[in-house]
Amino acid sequence: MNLHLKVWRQAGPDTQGRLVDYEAQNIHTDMSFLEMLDVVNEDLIKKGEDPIAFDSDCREGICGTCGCVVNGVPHGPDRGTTVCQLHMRRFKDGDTIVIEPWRARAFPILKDLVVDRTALDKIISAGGYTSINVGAAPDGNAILVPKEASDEAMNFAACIGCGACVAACKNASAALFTSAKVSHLALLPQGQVERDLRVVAMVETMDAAGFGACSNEGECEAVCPKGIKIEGIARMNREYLRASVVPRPMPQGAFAG
Amino acid sequence: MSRRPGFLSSSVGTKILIAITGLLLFGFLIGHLVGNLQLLAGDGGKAFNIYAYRLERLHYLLYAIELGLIAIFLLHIFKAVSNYLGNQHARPQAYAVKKPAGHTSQKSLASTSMILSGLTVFVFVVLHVRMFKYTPAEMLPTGEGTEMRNVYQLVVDAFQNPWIVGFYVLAVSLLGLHLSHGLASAMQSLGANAPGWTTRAWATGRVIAVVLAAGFAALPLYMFFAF
Amino acid sequence: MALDSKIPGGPIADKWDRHKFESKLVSPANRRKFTVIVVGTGLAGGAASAALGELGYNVKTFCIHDSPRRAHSIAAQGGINAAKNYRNDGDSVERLFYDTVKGGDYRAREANVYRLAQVSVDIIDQCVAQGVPFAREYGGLLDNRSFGGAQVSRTFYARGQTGQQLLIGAYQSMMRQVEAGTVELFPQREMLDLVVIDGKARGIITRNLVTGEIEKHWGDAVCLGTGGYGTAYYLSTNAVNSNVTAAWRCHKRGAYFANPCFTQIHPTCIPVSGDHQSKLTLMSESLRNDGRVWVPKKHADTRKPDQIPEDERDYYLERRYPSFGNLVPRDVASRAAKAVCDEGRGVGETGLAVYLDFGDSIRRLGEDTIRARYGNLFDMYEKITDENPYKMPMRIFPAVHYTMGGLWVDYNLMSTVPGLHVLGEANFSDHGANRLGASALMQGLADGYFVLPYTLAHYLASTPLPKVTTDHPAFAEAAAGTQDRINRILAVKGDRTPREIHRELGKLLWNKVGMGRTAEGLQEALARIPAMREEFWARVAVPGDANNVNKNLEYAGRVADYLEFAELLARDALERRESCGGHFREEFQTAEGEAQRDDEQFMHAAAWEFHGVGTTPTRHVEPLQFEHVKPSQRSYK
Repeated sequence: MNLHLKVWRQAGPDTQGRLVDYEAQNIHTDMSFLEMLDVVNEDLIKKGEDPIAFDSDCREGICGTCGCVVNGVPHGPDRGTTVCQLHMRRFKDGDTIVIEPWRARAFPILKDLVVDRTALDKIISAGGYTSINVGAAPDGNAILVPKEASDEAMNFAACIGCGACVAACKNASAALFTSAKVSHLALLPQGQVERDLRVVAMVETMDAAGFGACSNEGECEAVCPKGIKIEGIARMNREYLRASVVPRPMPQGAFAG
Repeated sequence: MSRRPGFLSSSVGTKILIAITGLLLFGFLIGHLVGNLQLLAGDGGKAFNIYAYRLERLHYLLYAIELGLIAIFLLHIFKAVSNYLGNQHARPQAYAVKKPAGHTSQKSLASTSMILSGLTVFVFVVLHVRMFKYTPAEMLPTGEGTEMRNVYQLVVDAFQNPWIVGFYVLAVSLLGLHLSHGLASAMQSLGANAPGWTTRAWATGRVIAVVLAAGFAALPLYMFFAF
Repeated sequence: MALDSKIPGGPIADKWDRHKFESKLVSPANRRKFTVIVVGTGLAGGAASAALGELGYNVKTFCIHDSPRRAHSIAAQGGINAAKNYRNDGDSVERLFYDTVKGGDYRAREANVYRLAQVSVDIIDQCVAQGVPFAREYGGLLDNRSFGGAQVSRTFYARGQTGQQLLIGAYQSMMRQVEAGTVELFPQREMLDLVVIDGKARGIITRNLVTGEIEKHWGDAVCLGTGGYGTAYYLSTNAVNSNVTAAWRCHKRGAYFANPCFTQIHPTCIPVSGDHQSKLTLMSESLRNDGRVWVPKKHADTRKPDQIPEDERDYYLERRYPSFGNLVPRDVASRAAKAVCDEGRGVGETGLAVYLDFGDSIRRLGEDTIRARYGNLFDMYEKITDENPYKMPMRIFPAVHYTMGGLWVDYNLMSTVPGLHVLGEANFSDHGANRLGASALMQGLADGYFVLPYTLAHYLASTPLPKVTTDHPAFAEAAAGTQDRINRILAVKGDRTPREIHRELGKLLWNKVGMGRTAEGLQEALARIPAMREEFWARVAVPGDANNVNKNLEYAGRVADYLEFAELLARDALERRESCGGHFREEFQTAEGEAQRDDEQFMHAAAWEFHGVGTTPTRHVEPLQFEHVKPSQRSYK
C-alpha cells in the first residue's frame, strides 16, 4: 500500500521545525510502523537527503526508546502498544499519517522525532530507589511479601519510561511516570523506610523539570504501552499528603544528599 | 498544615488544595440546594423566607461563614487559575494534530473546560448574590415582632424573566459540567482511589453532578412555568 | 603473548574466597582518588557503576542511549538462575556449576563458572532488597520455575519481564550514585576508541551522539559492558542499536577476541516475514514448558495445522530426545528445527518455521491457565503475526540471540590490555560454547555487582598508575583517528545504504556461519567479506554531517566494524574443526546428527590477536582443564 506522511522535521534543538510531506510506497502490511519509516529513510538516503531521525532500539516494546505521536495519539491508534509494535495492517492504502515528536518543555527536541528525556532520569535519581548497598542485603526470603502486593508493585514497575504519558497529557505532566515508581516502591516492604522522603523528593524534582500538573483526565493511562493505571497517581498523592502532614522522622543524609 | 515550605506550591500540593476547597464548595452547594428546595414548599414562600431570616439572624456567625466561603472560593479559583497558567508553559509548542486517546481516558468536555466552566460559574455567583442578597425586598412580619425580607417574592419575580431563567439554567448546567469532572478528580487528587475504582469514581461523580445541577435548574424552571 | 588465566590455586570451592582474601584492597579514603570508566549500562555496566559508586570510586559511565535504562538486557524475558534451593529439589552451587559447564559443552573455564554459581545466590538477595518485584507465592516466598531444560526449579522471574526488572533495579541503584555524586553519567555517547598509554587502558574516545563532538575521557581503568555481537547477522533478537564497535575497537587496540564462533541461535523466535524486517522477536523459551514442537511428517505439506491429523505429525524433539523432549537446550533445539526444515518439512509461506503447539496444554489446563502463564507473549505474537496462538499453533524459527564469545578475560575479568576489564556478554568466559536459559542475567549481574569490585580493587592497588590527562598525545592520536574514520565515511557519498550492506553481510553470515557450518562455506564467507568491505568504503551513502544527530552515520560506523569483525567470526569457525554447543560444523557430527566435539585438539579457548584489517590474526590458545566435571558427550536423550 501507499501512504502520505506528514513528518515533523527539525534540524536541531534551537531551529524552527515544520511538517514535511513524504510518500511511503509499497508498504507491506506486516511491517511495523518503524520499519515503514526505515523504508522511507532508505529512499531519502539514496536521494542524498537527510533521513528522518527517530529513536528506537529493542523494537519489541520493552526498552521505551521509541515514541512519536501518530495522527494525534502517542504511539498511535493501538492500545497497550509502543510505536515499534504498531503494525501497518492498522492503516489503509492512501491514508495520510501525521507524525510528530513528543512535545513538552521538559523534553527538548534534539532532531526531528528525537527528544531528550533526561528529565525522567532526574526524577528517578531524586529518590526512585531503595538505598541498599551491594553486599548488605538479607536473604531474599527473609522478608515475606504478600503476593498481591508484589503483583501490584509489578504492575507499576512495568513502566518503560517512554514518556508517552507526558506526550499525551494536555499539561505535559509526568505524574503517571513518577507515580509508577512511587507506587512500585511504596507497595513493597523494601520501600517503606524511605517512603516519605522519596515521594516528596520525586514530586519536587518532577515540578522543577518543567512538567505540568496532573489534571486527572487519564489520557496518560489510555496511551501507556504498559497499561500503568492512574490509581498510581492517587497513591502518589496520598503518599505525598501523608508525607507532608505527618512526616515520619528521617535520618539526615538519606537519599544520598 | 505542612512542615515543609514546598507543599502548597508543589503540583501535587496545589491539586490537593484545589480538591479540598472544591469539595468544601460542593458541601456548601448541597446545603444551599437543600435550603432552596423550600421554595417548592407550596406555602407561598413562608418557609423559605423564615429560613432566610434565620440565616440572617446568625449575624457575626453568618459573616464569618460568608467570609470563609469567599476565602475558600477565591483560593480555589486562585490555585486553579495559577495552576492552569503554569500548565500552559509545560508545552510551548502545540501539536499540529492531537486527538483524545479514548480507551480508559476520562477526558471529556467537562475536563477540558474546567477553567471556562469554573470562571463562568464565578461570574454567575457574583450576579446571583447581587440579585438576591443586595436587592431591596418587601418586608414582611415574622410573627415574632420583627420583620424579614420577602426573598421568596424576589425569586418569583426574577424568574418570570425568560432571560434570567435561561442564564440560570445555563449557569447551573456549567456548574454540573464542572462537577462532573471535578468531583471524581478531587477524590483522585486526594488519593482516594484504588485499583479498579477509577471508572466507578467518575461515573458516580457524573451522576451526582447531574442530580445537583438538575436540582438547581428545577427551581427557576418551576418558578417560570408555575407562575 | 601467552594467555595467563590467573586461576587461583586451591580446591574449586575455595578459589574465589581465597582470591578475594589474597587480593589487594583500596582503602575507603583512597577510592575517590581513582577514576573508573564504565562503558555500557546494561546489567553488567549498570551493576558495576552502582557497586563501584557505592564503594566510593569516581565513576564515569557512558551509554549510547538517551537514558541508561534502555540497554538490551531489558528484553530478557524468562528469568535469572540462582542456586538457592528454595524448592528443596536438590539444587546446589555444585549442581548449577555442573549444569552450566555441561550446558556450555565443556568450553567454559571451570573456575569462573564455579564462582558464577557461588555468587548467584547473592544476586537474588541484592535484587529483592532493591525492590525487584519477583514473582511470589501466596505465602509470600519467592516463586521459582524450571527453565531451559534444567531439572530443578532455580529460575527467579518477574512475569515475562525479568530482564527489565533487574535492569531497572541496577539502573535505580546507579541513579542513586549519580545523585550522590560518585557516578557521572554520559548518555548519548558512543565509545569509538580505547586509549592505551604505557600498555595500560587509560581512557576512551567517545562521540557525543547529539552534538557530534569527539570527546576524550581519561581514567585509571576501563570497564566494558557493551554486550555481544549478534547484530553482525543483521537479523537477530538483539536491539537495533546493539553493536560490536566498542569491543572491536578494543580488540584493535590489543585485546584478544575469544571464541567468536560461539554464537547462540535461539530456537523460539517469530519467523522472518520479509526483507523489510529490521529485527527478530524472541518468544521466551519458557513457552517450551507447555508447547509441543512439531512439523508434518509429509514433505511440503501445505495443509493448515489443524487439518493435519495427530498421526501425521512429527513431534521431532520428543521423538529424538525422549527424556528432555521439548526442553532440550537451545543449540540442540535450534539445530533440530533446521534439520527438519532442510528436509523440506518446514511450515509457513517460507518453509522456514516449525509449529509450537499449545493445543494439548490448553485442553489439559484450560485457556485461562495458559493465558495467565504466557498471556503477554501470546499477545505479542498476535500483534506481530496477526494470528491467534490460542487457536492456531505458533510458527517459530531459530534466530541469532546471544554470543558466548567475546573479549578474552582472565579470572579477574581483565583483558589482555591491562586495565581493560570486560563484563557480561562482552566477555567470553562463563558460558563456553552454549549458554543455558536464565544464565545471561545471572552473569551480567555477577560480574558487575560481585566480581569486578574485588578484582578491580586489586588491579588499582597493585598497579603503578601515573597521573595522565587527556592532553597526552595518545588521546590526540586516538581522537584524530576516530575523526578521520568519520570523515572518510561521510566523504564516500555513494549509492548504497549502510542497511543494504549490513543486510547482505547478515545473509552471508546466516547462511555460511549460521546454524550449520562447513569448511567450504566458511572459506566462501572469508573470500566475500573483504569484497563487501571494499564495497562499503567505495559506495556507502551517508548524507548529512557529523555535528548533530545523525543516526545513519552512527549506523554506518557500526556496519564498518561488523565488516571487519565478520571475518574473524568466520575464521574462528573455520579453525575450530569440531562441533560444540552453538558452533556446529557439519563435517563433525555423530551418526545421529549430534555435535561431535574434539576434546583432544580443541578443548581450549581460542583468543585472536589483531594485526591489521585484512591481515591474518594470530590464534592463541588457553587450554581448558576439567577437573570437576568430566567431559562427556552431552546427551539429552
